[in-house]
Amino acid sequence: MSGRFKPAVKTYTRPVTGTWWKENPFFLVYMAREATALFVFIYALVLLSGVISLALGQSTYEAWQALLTTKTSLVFHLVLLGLLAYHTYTWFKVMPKTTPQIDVAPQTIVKTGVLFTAGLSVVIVAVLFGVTR
Amino acid sequence: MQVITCDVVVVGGGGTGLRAAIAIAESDPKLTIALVSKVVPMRSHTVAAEGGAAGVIRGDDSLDNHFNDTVSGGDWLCDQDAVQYFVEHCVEELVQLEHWGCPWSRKDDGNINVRFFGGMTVQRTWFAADKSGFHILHTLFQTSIKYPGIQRYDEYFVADLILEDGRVRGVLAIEVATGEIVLFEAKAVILGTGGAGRVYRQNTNAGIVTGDGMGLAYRHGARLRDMEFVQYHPTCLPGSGILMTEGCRGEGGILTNKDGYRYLQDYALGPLDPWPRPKAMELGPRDRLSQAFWHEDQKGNTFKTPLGTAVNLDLRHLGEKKILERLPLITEAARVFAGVDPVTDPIPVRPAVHYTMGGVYANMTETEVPGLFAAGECSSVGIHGANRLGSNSLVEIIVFGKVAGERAAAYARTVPDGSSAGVRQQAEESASRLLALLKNDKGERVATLRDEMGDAMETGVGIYRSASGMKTACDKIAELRARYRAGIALDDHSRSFNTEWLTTIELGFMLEVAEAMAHSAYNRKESRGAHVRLDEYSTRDDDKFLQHSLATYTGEGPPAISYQPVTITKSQPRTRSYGGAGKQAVMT
Amino acid sequence: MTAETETRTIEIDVLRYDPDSGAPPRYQTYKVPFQHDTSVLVGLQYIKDHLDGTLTFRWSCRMAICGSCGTMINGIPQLSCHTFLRDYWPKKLRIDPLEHFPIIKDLAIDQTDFLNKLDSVKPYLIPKQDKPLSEGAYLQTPKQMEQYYNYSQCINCLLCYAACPQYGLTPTFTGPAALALLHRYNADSRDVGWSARSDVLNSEDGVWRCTLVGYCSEVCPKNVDPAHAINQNKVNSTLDYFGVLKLLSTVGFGK
Repeated sequence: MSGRFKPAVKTYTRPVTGTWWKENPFFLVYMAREATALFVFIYALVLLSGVISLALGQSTYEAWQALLTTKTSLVFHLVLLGLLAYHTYTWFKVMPKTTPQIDVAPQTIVKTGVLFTAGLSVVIVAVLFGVTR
Repeated sequence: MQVITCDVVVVGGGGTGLRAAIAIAESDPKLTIALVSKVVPMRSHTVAAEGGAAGVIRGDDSLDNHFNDTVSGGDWLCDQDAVQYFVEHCVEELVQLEHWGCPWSRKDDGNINVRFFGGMTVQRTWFAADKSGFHILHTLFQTSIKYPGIQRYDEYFVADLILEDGRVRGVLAIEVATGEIVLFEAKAVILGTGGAGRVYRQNTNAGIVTGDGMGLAYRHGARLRDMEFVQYHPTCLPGSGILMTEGCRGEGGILTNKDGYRYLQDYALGPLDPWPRPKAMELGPRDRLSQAFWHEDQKGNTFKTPLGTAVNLDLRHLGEKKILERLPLITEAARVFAGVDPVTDPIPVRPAVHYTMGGVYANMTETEVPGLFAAGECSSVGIHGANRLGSNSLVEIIVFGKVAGERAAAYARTVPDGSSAGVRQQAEESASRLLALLKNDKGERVATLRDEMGDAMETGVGIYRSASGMKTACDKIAELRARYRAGIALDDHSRSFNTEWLTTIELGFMLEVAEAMAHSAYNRKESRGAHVRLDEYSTRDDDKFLQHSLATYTGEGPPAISYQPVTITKSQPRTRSYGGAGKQAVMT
Repeated sequence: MTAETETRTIEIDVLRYDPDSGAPPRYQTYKVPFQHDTSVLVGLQYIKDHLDGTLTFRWSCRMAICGSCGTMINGIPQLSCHTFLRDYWPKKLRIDPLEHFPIIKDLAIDQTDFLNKLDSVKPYLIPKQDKPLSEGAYLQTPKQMEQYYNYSQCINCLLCYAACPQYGLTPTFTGPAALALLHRYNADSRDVGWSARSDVLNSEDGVWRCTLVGYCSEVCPKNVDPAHAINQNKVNSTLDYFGVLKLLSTVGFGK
């Protein structure tokens, strides 16, 4: 950056390595947050493929449904659920840093968010359960 | 040698230097200002001031109160014309800081809040929690950025002054990063270099508080005034000397000895009740409280810590909420550095050197060298006398920093442009002396001399003094100066960022300032304020010593000590008394 | 001997760099005696005073307020005056200069980049109009102060820059402390300088370079929360982009 202060002349600049994030547990947690975002994208693709199969006709859609009920798919979904839940948690964890200056403890924001999401999920599952029964 | 030409050089980037630089920029935007500091300004020691700054704003207070508290606090060694100017300008400077963004603590209605400090008739201390100096410094530093006229030279160590034809012509500095020597040619120079507390072993001061400005001016013929008056702050952590602000007591903290007894009532600061009461008990002045500690120590009423004896500074009754709101810095410092939580336990404290009341003699910041101005702790403009009142120094730096800036600007406008071969010649000679120090590899280590100096001052020129003790200190400092001249061996002979070299130059200043302190003390044959003797001169002697002392540099020998009358306008010397009967005060 | 006065010895590895030789930095090991209350800074001072006068580091106040003595201690940015040798013994201790800054010599880093960035955020009060001193101080309630007070506690120690991987990867990023100070003034009820500072704030090297790692706020020795200052301003920056902020600011939003 330019400015009125000129940098010292004879300095040594240490290189930033590609593995900087391995050197501190705090950075590992950060990378875990960023990496789990990828799985949100992956699940979006799963849902998208469902929509496409629906557009392609009943037989395709039924094949897609059948695919979902395989053991591999169930394990895949369970793993994805875990990762997505973690990512959702990290999302609320950073939420206090993004709100305006308010008189609410950061932990309260995190807890409220997590509880609200968990509650909403339960409601959605219950509704879906009711509708599909 | 690189030469930088400017109108005014401000030496020191603390509160004084920054306020002076802004004053110059505001009084004449055309003037070029070089703000030269051995650290980046926000590292300056102003940052560590905690308690606050005095300014009369309460309806039940008055400028006369502030004047009288200051003059009696200084045991009538204050120049009363200077004090009058000072008290009249405190509030406007504090308001100015507020307009620049300083986050002064407020009352619920949004007005400025004030707290008690020692020796005060009425609450008068503006405070920003217990980080007042920090906020003042950062406010000034950040505000200074908006003035393009202020060219900053951060981490340039000023090692010499250059004079010609009896007036100041510039300063010689070392660029710390490269070790290059730079001449700043200027029409006026302002010293805002702070105190010299580091000449003592145990002190509240930052490592940079080494009396450089005092040493610079002294060597070039400006006299050092009232140097025997060194303030011991009564409440500091044993060992490190880290300060526990007077604001602790201003908020209602108490001092107890090892038996839990509030011992100050035994030292003319009582009676205990009603409490709290202005100018009594823990709200007494610093000199009296430090002296009381000494007596308790002699009587065996203090307790031992691994780092020295101590008494208790007890805040517990204030409650966690108030402690954390008003005293967050010292709470954290006590927890980290003493392992004590003030909310649940008393803090062990003992006195440590805090402030040099004396400094470069200056009349409204003008020193005896034409073109050389001084303000803040490095100066003696005459407002502190024999003992500074808490809260007066943070206002001093802004009130007199501004005066220094305006006067230096006015002076610079009267000086014609033009450089001089003589100035360059002198600078070259001075530079070669500095480089000779750098090359030396025979002699003693700088730390050896520094530690011996600190111990000698602590022992001989401490809270209580005697002729024999002070004589020993004078002799010891003379010996150390001789050893210094014989050579300091450096491990590091390189130019870039050589802090060993800079420390050696600082030690040179410190030894000379220490010598001025010791000799001024030895020659003052009375007791007054912070200068208290145990020998036959244990009382104040207005007939002989209602006078400022002046130390004149004589080269390798000891300083010549002379005296100068004190300016008295409206307050004739009386007995200085604290404690006694009085009304209970309400802490705000 | 009690634990408080007992003297033990610890080994300290310090990264050394000599600008005159220009050779890459290397570690040098020192054996330092210490007691219960010996800070890392005092350990370094012991080396300088008694073992090796060439070892170079910055320090001043010794009480965690001047911001001079930031270093990497076992890889974590910390103030050396505020960290104690007892907490590392009996293992070795490794001291590096603050991460992401060029080294001038040993532990002294070049801080000019930060000084320029500080300049760029206009860290001073920009009032609506000049207020004469005779009118006295502004009114500001404790509630209004709360909006900016935390961010005014920054001591410019640069630990947050050493903690910020984004600053390491993209040194043009304005960075945590400077952006926190930018917000400190924006959030002050006496200030109307949003538009004067918005170029820096809204730019790619402003708040948008931050990916909310959040380590800056973790390492801050004064509990300033730069991550909060930056990320709440992503919302403000967005509102500014759509012209909504101007509307909201007329009703005192965010002050």
